[in-house]
Amino acid sequence: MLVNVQFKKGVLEMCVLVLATVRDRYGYELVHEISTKFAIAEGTIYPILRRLTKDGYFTTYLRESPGGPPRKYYRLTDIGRRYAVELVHEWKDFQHGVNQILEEGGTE
Amino acid sequence: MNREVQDSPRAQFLKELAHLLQRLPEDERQDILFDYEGHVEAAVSEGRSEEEAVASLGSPRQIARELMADYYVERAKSTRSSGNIIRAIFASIGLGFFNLVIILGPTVAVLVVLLSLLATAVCLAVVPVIVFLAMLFQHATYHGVTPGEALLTLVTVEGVGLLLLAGTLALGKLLRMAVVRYLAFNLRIIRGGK
Repeated sequence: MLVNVQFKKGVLEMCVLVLATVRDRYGYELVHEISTKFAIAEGTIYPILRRLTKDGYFTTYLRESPGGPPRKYYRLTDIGRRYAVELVHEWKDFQHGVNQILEEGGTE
Repeated sequence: MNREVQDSPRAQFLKELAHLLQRLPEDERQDILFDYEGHVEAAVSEGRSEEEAVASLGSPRQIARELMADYYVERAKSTRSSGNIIRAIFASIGLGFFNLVIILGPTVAVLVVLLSLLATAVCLAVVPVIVFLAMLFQHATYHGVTPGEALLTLVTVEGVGLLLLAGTLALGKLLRMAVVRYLAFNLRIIRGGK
């Protein structure tokens, strides 16, 4: 139970950070990108964004949106960018390890 | 017209979320509500229905639980008071971040030890007084023991009791600090931070 909660949060953090390496994003954009790839409760992204911003990985700014209220955009900071790279490395290692187990386990 | 706006799914969601977040400082709460309002707005402008957009957010209670836990953890990071740390731990337990046994186990063990010592100390401190009063007012005597010997024994036991009491209180302070440090350590490891 402990690993599950942390793991999911970690994966979502990584996704959100990596998406922002391409360009600044607003909240809904990130939610939409992720929720089209795998199922999440969309409301849980915002606390993650909040936490990452408080920890200094994002800065935020408001920008007018076409015909609507201003949107809050998230921009990666330098440490945010480094953290994103670090998380991707960890994830790739993890993926590699799991794949090895699955391959070896499959040939038993 | 006004009543319709009050009943909108968006308004209901935001109202419930605001209520669950009442312990947050005003500006933080407003900032959070702004995020969710913006989400629904963006969803609706994409053509999604407001009901569906609000439903896809998930339960306000779960969201609030997470936000409150983050808030308490943040507070525990900046001010390491035992109160802040305990609040952060319990909020995190509610999210499934901690194994209750690992957290409560040592805490309960420490409490049990302290309470036993305290009970012993209190007995040792109180009983001699009662016996002394019995000797004084009821002229109680004890076979094969002179009043002088009895008095000596009483004073000795009383002394031990008081020493144990003082020792237990000091130990209590020490252990409280140790438990809080243990909890803070767990918080740092599991929830992250300095």
